[in-house]
Amino acid sequence: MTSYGSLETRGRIGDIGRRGSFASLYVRPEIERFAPGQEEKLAQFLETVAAATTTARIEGPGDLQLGENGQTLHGGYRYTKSGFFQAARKMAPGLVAGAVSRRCECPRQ
Amino acid sequence: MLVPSLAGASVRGNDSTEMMIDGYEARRIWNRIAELRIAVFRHCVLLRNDTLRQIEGVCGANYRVLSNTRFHQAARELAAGEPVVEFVGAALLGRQLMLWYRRRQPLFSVEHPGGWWPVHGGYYFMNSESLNASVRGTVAVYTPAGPCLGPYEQLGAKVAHLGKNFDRHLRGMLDRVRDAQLPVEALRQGAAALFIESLGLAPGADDRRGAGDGARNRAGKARESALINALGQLGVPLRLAREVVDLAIRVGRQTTVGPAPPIQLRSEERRRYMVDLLVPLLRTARKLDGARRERLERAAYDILVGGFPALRAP
Repeated sequence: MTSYGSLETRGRIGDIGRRGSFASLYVRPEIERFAPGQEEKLAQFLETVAAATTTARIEGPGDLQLGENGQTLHGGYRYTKSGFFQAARKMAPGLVAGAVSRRCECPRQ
Repeated sequence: MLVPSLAGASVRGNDSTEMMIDGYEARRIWNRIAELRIAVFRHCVLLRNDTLRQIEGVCGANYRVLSNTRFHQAARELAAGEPVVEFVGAALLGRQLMLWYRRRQPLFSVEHPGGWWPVHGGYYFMNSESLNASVRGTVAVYTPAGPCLGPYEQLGAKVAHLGKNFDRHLRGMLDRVRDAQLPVEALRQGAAALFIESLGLAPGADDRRGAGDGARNRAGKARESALINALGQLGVPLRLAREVVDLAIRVGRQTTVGPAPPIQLRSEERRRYMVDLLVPLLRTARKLDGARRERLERAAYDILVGGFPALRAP
């Protein structure tokens, strides 16, 4: 049987900027894997994530803008890679155009 | 990828790239554009994890959030309706959840020189709570090397997180996956052919273990290119197709990658068959994130049902 791996930790810090004190644009969450027999553990994990989840209207640029520590100016949140790219695509698609073209490498799409 | 690239997110660190990275400038550009374009976020909300203090997505006004909790529950209920179906795994990357369920009894087993290859039917589901993917499901065929995904168009469905009818469409997707009929006979024939049909690599290219690239002859290289292009036409990104074909030649169906054995293999043992391509394809898929993994597992299904003659030996 194919192994789907075991539970891993999440929230590893992504690339650290090389110049100045710039800490990074986003974090790269690590994949959580659940093996056969761990469906209950998955359900509990999803409940935990759901309990921590909030949605908030974007009131101003400070909700999106980054400070030196890589946290948003309002609220002090870090972007995940996915969150950052979604915001960037909405804001100005050219900011992440390279990522789009890589997806189009496949001739079938 | 202007801003991430400028911040060094897409380059490997060394002396020459170090000079091209400026995190301050990346942040300054990001902040300026956020200020300039704030109006486009007028109806948007941020999806946040308050425990980790992270922004995990941006959702628009018409977006219908399907929580992974609810999605998992729906998939679980569907599987529970069939006692012969078992949970075989899940993966969560940020807000993207992938679920695999499999029938306990194999659809069939194929005999090959090394033993038996049981093939099971099952399901695959994926949901993203944020903007970057639709909720989707399809049938999956579980080989000992990993799952192969049936085509969404015929055996599954994708539902965009939009509109008033989202719940109805979601229910329809789940029902469609549950009721889909796998082409068992085509799968049986395809699985048997995996161990019979040669990849058509020239003798020099069939075994690069212990030999440098120079040992490959022109015909072998041409066949390698043809295999890479054929995988590309099946939807495998070309960079990954090259990696898979290289693994097919060097490692094949073996489950471990080790140093070259010190023995000279007989010609017949050096041959590479379709299974020697399928196994590395599925092994590579498991290392990838959701969307790219799906592409490779979709391609594997097409190979399994023999739907792509260009891969066969000329």
